[in-house]
Amino acid sequence: MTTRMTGFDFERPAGLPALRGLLARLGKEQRRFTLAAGGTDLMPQLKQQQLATEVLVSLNGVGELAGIELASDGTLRIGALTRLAEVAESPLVRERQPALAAVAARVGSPQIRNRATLGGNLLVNNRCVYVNQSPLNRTVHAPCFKVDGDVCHIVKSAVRGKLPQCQARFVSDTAPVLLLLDARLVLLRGRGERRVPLRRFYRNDGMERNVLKPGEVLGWIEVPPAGGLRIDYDKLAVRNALDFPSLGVAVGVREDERGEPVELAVALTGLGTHPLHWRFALVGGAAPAAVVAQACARAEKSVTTYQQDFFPRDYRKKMIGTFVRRGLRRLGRGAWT
Amino acid sequence: MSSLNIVGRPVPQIDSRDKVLGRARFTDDIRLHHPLEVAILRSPHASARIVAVDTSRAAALPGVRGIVTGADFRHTFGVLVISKDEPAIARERVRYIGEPVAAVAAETADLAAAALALIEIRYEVTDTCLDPRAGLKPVAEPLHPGLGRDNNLHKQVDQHYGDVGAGLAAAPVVVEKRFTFAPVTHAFTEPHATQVAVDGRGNLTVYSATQVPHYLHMAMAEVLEIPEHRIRIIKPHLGGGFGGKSDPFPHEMIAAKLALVTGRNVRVNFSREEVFISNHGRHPTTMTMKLGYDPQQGVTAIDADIVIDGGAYGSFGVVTTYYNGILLQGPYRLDNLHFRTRRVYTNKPMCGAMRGHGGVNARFAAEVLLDMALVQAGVDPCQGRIDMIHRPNTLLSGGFRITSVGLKGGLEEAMRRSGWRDKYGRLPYGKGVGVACGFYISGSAAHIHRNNRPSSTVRLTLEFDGTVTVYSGAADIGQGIDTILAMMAAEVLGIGLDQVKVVVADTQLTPVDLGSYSSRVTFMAGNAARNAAISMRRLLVAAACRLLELPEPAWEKPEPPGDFFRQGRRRPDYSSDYLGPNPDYDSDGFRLANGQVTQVASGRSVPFLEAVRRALDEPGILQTFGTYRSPKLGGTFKGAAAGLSPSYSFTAFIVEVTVDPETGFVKVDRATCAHDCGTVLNPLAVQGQIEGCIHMGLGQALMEEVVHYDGVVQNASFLEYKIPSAFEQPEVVLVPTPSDETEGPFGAKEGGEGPLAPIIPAIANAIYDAVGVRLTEVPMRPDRVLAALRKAGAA
Ligand SMILES: Cc1cc2nc3c(=O)[nH]c(=O)nc-3n(C[C@H](O)[C@H](O)[C@H](O)COP(=O)(O)OP(=O)(O)OC[C@H]3O[C@@H](n4cnc5c(N)ncnc54)[C@H](O)[C@@H]3O)c2cc1C
Repeated sequence: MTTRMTGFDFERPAGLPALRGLLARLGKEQRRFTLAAGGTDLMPQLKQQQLATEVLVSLNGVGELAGIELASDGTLRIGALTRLAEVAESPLVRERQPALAAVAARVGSPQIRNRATLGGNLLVNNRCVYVNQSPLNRTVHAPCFKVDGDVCHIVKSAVRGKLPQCQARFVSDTAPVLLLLDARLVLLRGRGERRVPLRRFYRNDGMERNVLKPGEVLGWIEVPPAGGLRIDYDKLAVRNALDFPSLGVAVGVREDERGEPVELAVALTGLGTHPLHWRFALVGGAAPAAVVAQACARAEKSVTTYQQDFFPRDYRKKMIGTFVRRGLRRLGRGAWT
Repeated sequence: MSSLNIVGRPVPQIDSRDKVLGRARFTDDIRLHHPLEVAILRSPHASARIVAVDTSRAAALPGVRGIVTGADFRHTFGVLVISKDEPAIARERVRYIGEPVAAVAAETADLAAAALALIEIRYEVTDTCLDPRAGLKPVAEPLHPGLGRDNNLHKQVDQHYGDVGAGLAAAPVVVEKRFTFAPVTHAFTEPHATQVAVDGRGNLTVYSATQVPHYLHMAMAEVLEIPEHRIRIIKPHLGGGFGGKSDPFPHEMIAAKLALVTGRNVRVNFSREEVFISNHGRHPTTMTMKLGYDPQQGVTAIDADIVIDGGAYGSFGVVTTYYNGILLQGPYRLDNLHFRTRRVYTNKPMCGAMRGHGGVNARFAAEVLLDMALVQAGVDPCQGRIDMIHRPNTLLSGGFRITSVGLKGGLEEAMRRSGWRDKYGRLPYGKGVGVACGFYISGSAAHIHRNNRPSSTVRLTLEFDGTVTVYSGAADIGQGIDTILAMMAAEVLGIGLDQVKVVVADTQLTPVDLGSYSSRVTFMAGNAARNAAISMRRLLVAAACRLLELPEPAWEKPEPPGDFFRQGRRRPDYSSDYLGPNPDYDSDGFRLANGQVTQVASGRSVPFLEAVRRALDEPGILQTFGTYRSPKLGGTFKGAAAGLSPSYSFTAFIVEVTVDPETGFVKVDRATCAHDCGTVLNPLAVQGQIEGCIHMGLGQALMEEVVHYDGVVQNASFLEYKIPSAFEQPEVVLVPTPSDETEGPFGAKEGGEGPLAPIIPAIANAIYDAVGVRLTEVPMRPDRVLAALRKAGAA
């Protein structure tokens, strides 16, 4: 029996004003709705009944939210609806933020990137072996918090409402790169909007994953000029296509005008409930190699991993340092490793 | 023998254009008149007693037309006569998570799904047995109490050939290791699907994605308790099987029963998850193997103790139990062999036949151990293997009759083409080359159901317009037997492929072929088609003689093959329709080509079509038959029939890998393959099969694993069950490996399964060459490689 999606209405507002109107109406009617961009993350969840909704609101008619612009201060303003394939191929992104173009090309597969959006990638749902399963599979183990049950199978002592209540892991590939780039999110609500730095956006929980409020729409991702920061991203995945990161590591080295390294930055995805990132000053006489060692130790110590993935937890943890060092080698800083 | 027209040319499969354009109709594409949709309720418990089943609320739902439960089926079934242990729907107890416990036929799929939710089943959960080792000890409640055992042992095979103790004692090098193999599954593209049409007289036409229409036909009649003549099985185009569709399945029984009960057409179609939980994949295996090696004599002995995890039911498991040991008899000389294989029932989806059936895991162990022994003895791993390969025309101690062997030359050529001598032991750290060999059956000589009928029969007709139609029960599952059948007829009759049509896999229209398993089809159905075409050719030559007023040639039965074939102690039993060894059917002095039937000596000829019409004059119809049956082979001891085949294929792989010592990732850069499938009937098809074997082997070697957690399959999707992507597929080099096979059609042997097994140990051996560690756990995941490296570094 093949699974089908049923039981919800579908809306596709044409343009931002129509979207605003629709969301206001749905709010007033107190109807449960879900926003869909590329739908590549959403559709499997709807099919597997991990998620239920009354109205599915497609954002694909909101042309204002697609496309890439360069502001006068050098900031890239990327519409949340911009497809990852476009981000990867955009000459503007490639020139200004090559690391972002590169990481966009590492998500999923070509078919997925043609459909998936950058906004959707930052908002991609956290994943867990107990959640991303079929209804039959989920009946074998009691339903967990994330699918409206009352237990966490990963951390048995977890309590609903007390964060972290859910250990579903964060899997966005683009988030670590955008974190190191100090990206800001423009969130639309009602007629207004607010800006939230990405580094304040995520929360330490697999269910209440971020500070996006119900009814809020991610409008744009603003990426300020890199300011001498060069970034390398690599992901641990079984295959060279399709796989979510079992671990994703972005490493950045900031150089001053004379090309002297002044900062080391590391960001991780794929391990805990949210992305992690650190910055380490390289000025003031600290030997870079010592800083790198410190950064790796810090990263390995800070993350909690669980047996939730193809790779054993210890292996994933061990790979953090390895990936940091390899990233630095690719950035021409092999001497520090 | 004149030169060949079509055999040996790269021909696209006759249905490839339709498949590429989306025109080919697979089972689920068939549109029956208003079919009911079937949904199957599946057990959420791995082991439980069914205390009560209440379908009344579901039955009351408007639009629900039929419900069946275990009570509706009296007979269990199974592909092997010796283990018919599977119910269509569980009765009294469930044995794995996902086992059918009820099924509904309703007007729409949504209604059927809604009805499932209304069926109430009360279970009483019982102890589960998930670990085969535990199942070998006494258990409170065996999965199959009917066997009369106090544990979950399904089948034990313990066989001795020669004197293993002496062989090991005499060997200067003895190596031993314990190996474990994760469960892997076929992962074919097309999910299982069945549609059943019922007519006003209660006759069923069953369209099903099956590799074995004939076995399904018989099993269904038995399970439904209706005569076989009321059932017609049709296999439409099929999107891959690899053994995963080679059993009769519960959903097929369920659909047919619901069609009978409701009097309506029905349709059932699996989700990917249902495919995974139906499984029938390769058995998870643990084995301890010991191998003795003497540089002068080769492998002196193998001793293996093997436990395979069968899951809940039998499937092909008894055969798997034999194959794990018996297929160690090749490709090298081996006089002393002992193995004990135990298949254990567990509360998991059942395992069965999967490409390379039974030979894959044991082959890995043997080839890794052999590599260790050769390294220890200071013998080149390629050369050492070459020296031990079976010679053509030998009889093995276990009774296998080896006919043609082209592997020696093939492996030598592979060594040259892969640059083995410059690379082995000489590449920088992290890069390595490895070699492994294998062999495989070209069909099983013995029938599953004992009878004296041929393994394959083909009917051939020739119409007044020149159309040749091949009727065969053979099941094309993507391997391309439809094309082979057409090629056989076209070659023998000297016509183009476009003039040949095939009518296949329809039990009402086509004579019996036993199915697509054990790499039998090209060999057996191919021979049958060739023989049918040879008979047809004689009718045409006779007609030409009449037109040309020449005497008919005296077609003598060829001499039986030489002494060698009598070595099996019994005389080979060639049926009267045996038309002689390949390929001298045209030694009668006539040639069929270019639209003419020509007497070669005189050059006199008549047009093909005229000969056809003359031949039609008296009978009004031109119809011939061809059959294939294996010569009688092998000894008379218990289990002697296992692994007997009229012919064996041989394979060698040399692979080149890059191992990343920081992460443990293994990348296969290049695979050089020497596969002896006798005559290459169609190079395109053989290339496709070998590339497919490499891809599948790569998956098992490096990443594939069905993960069970508390008995539930945790990665029942193509996102989480990791099949290599196109990126992981290495460069493939195919090396010509000819051999002199006299019994296969135009000298062909199997080419679809044999190349799978050796690629996996070849990768392991290349990893050793690259970084100096031996992996004994499959898949050889990066974390395992890294752990082995750390362990080696620490030592
Ligand atoms: C086979 C497969 C492989 C994958 N591999 C990867 C991978 O390697 N790396 C990876 O990071 N991801 C991967 N994904 C997940 C997913 O495809 C990507 O994360 C993708 O970028 C999601 O974007 P989308 O536009 O399709 O999101 P959608 O599915 O449309 O939405 C995702 C979530 O974001 C919300 N949302 C989307 N846009 C907005 C908006 N503008 N405002 C407010 N909320 C919004 C939706 O409500 C939903 O909750 C994979 C998915 C599949 C099916």
